[in-house]
Amino acid sequence: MRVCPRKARVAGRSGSRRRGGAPSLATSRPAARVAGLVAAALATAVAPAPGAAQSEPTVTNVTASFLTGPYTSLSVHPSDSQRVAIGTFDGHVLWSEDAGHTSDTAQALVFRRFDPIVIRSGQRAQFSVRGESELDEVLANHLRRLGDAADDIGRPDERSILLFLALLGQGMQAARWQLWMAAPDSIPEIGAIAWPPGDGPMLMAAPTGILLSDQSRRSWHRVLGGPGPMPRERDLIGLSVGIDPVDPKHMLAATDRGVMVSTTGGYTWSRHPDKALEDTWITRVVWDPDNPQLVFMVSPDAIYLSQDGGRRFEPSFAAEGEIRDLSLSPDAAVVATSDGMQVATSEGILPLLDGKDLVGAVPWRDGLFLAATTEELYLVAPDGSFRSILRTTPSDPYMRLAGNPRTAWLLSRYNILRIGDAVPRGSVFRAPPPRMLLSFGEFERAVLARAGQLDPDSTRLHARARAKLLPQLTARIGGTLGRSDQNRRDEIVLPGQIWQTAASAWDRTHWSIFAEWDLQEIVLGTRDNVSNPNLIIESQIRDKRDQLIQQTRTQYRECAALVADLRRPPADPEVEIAWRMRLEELASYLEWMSGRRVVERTPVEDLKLVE
Amino acid sequence: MTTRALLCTAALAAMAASLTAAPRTAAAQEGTEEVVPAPAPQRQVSRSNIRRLFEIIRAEMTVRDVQKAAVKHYQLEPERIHALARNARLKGLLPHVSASFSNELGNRFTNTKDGLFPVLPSPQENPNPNFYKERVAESSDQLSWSVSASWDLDRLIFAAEALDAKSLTGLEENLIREVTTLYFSRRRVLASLILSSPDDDEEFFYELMLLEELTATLDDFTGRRFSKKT
Repeated sequence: MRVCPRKARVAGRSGSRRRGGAPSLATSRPAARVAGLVAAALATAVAPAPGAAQSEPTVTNVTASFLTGPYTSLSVHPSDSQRVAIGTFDGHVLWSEDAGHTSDTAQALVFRRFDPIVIRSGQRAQFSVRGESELDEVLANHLRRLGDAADDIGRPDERSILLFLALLGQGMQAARWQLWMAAPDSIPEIGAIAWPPGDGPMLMAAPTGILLSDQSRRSWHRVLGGPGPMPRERDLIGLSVGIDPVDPKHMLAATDRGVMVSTTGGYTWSRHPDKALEDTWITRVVWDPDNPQLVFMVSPDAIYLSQDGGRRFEPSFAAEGEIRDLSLSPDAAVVATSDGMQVATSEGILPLLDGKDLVGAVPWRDGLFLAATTEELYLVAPDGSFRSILRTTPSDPYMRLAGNPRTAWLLSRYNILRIGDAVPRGSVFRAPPPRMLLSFGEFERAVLARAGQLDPDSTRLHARARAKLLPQLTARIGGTLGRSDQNRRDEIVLPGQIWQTAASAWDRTHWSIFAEWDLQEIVLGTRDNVSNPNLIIESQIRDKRDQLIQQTRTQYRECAALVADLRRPPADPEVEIAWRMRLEELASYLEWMSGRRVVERTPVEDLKLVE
Repeated sequence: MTTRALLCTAALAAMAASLTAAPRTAAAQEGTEEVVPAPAPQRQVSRSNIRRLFEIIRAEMTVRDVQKAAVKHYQLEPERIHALARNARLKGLLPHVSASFSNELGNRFTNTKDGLFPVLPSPQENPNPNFYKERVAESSDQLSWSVSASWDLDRLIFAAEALDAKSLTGLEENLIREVTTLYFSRRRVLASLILSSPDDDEEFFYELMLLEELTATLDDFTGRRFSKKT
């Protein structure tokens, strides 16, 4: 991730060849002479150098206007690039109709963790019943049901169910993970989203199926896919969707079972008649907004084209690398692949950025192109020269680039970047600019110290050898208090008799101290004992630590970027308020996690309007 | 470039040709000329609405208070988690104590006959009708007690339980992240309602619904404290 993503204008760099720019096509790829000639002709005709000021892209980070990521998908309205929809990893659909100034949010999918808490209140609540007789009954019922359903769902490992029930019956804590619990969690990730031509319902592809929104887009329901919230092995997976730009009732949905088509606005679906698409993994459905007869289906291996509104598809393109995305402009098709990009015009093919593993490419202004890898955004000229204009980090990779010369959008895992018009600056509020108070290192140490995980050794669960040098100490004290008496009559000396009477009492006290050392623990320890359950717990704690670091790092970076950006606040007060709210959100989270004050800032409610 | 790729490249050219050759809508014709757009017009936000928004925000719980209320409601306060971890180690100072107490009562009677013993008349004052040689009566009463204390001194240095307590910080982090996000999502909806209220009634209704939903969720997260103070 770049340090200051909201810079109104990304500084241009010259000397792109030094940064690894591809040499001219005619010399580097003799095999593609024909294409190269076309490219050369095009380049001389329309291409200015990529550093030309009038086409310099202005990159604006508009993440602050949206719900926090991580994000999973981005879809731009085919005919209005100011409208953008974003999917998140946790089931939210976010969309903006005004180029990211403001946004709307809807929760389309809800994450459900498959854990014992859910089990107690869910379908497996029966297993939490305690008491021997009840358990026997529950188990018998359960096994009977399994037998009935075995043909459909397969028989699970009953031994583990028996073990779990036995543990429950004895009131013992069951293991943290049992085989019969090994159902996967629900996957609320949002995949591709399709915009309708007007204000109608949206369509969405997700791992849990195909979902359709209502008119308001606030409510979503599944129209294709498995019935339950938990994924099952044979459930349908949604891959991509598209809506006819003229007839919003005509929809296409690519799934792992082939392409489905609806002519009823998503309420009923039938399998697409074209057999060629049955076993094809379609990652993108692109409907030409200007000519709805043209529909493109993008798969990693080929692009299928329909010229009759999606009835019949023909393979129309394949590339050396894996095809990643397709972008249309009125006079060109731009294909991003794992081996560069190919620009198709009526005059020929123009291969560019040879060897670059791209996630997307779009036409830009003045005959230039924008292309993105997971790490960099490039401005590309038709003559093959290019330069990097933005760079990110491996933890925040770019995932999609889409749009048109008016506005392009670049999505990374945690950021939404708009490429287009600059944000007018000049605040209507009177407030000092915010300031970061902690460096990155100080902040991270504070977070880990507060979580008690600063030292990796402190999260180690196996017993320390030095701890075992201290013994288990046992002190014991006890006593006995007793008495006895004896009466004895001896008859042998009759007529005179002998009587003996004896009485005794005693009081004994004893004490002892034991010290025990476990030499096995001291000498060998339990570090390498793979059956030690602590190792699993320890690994979980380490994972948590990594997640904590990653989470807080991302938020810190975004916070620092916002602080830098708010030195020149946007002129629109609503946008500035949204940005300051996001700053407040990030700062309050970071300050809680670190226990330190991280950002010096003016709370939104204390801003004073300039009179 | 392989033959297949060359062929496919030709196909792509055909594809592009179909793009340009196909009849296009009027919008597309206009679109070709719209390359560099004019900047979007700046929207006007009423100053009084801004002041009103700030007044409402001032009257609400701060995010810090909401965070505190949430961790208190879920008993995930950092102090509590640290105390749990510390106490897990300090348990090494306190022993396992066991005490026992027992009492034993006994009686024994022994009557002995001897074949060599002469049968003698039983005296009236001490009758011996069965002609025992010897009669012995014994009784005893014994009380035993013990107290035992055992210390696991290694816990002072390492207690696995302390790490279980530390793992609660993961829950705390999730809770804080969620409640913070919710708090500001709600605030953004509030700002949107006041600063740029939707013209459409249905849209306005959905915005209000969303505000209600977020308020109710925050209320639950904070154990009803949010609605009391907001």
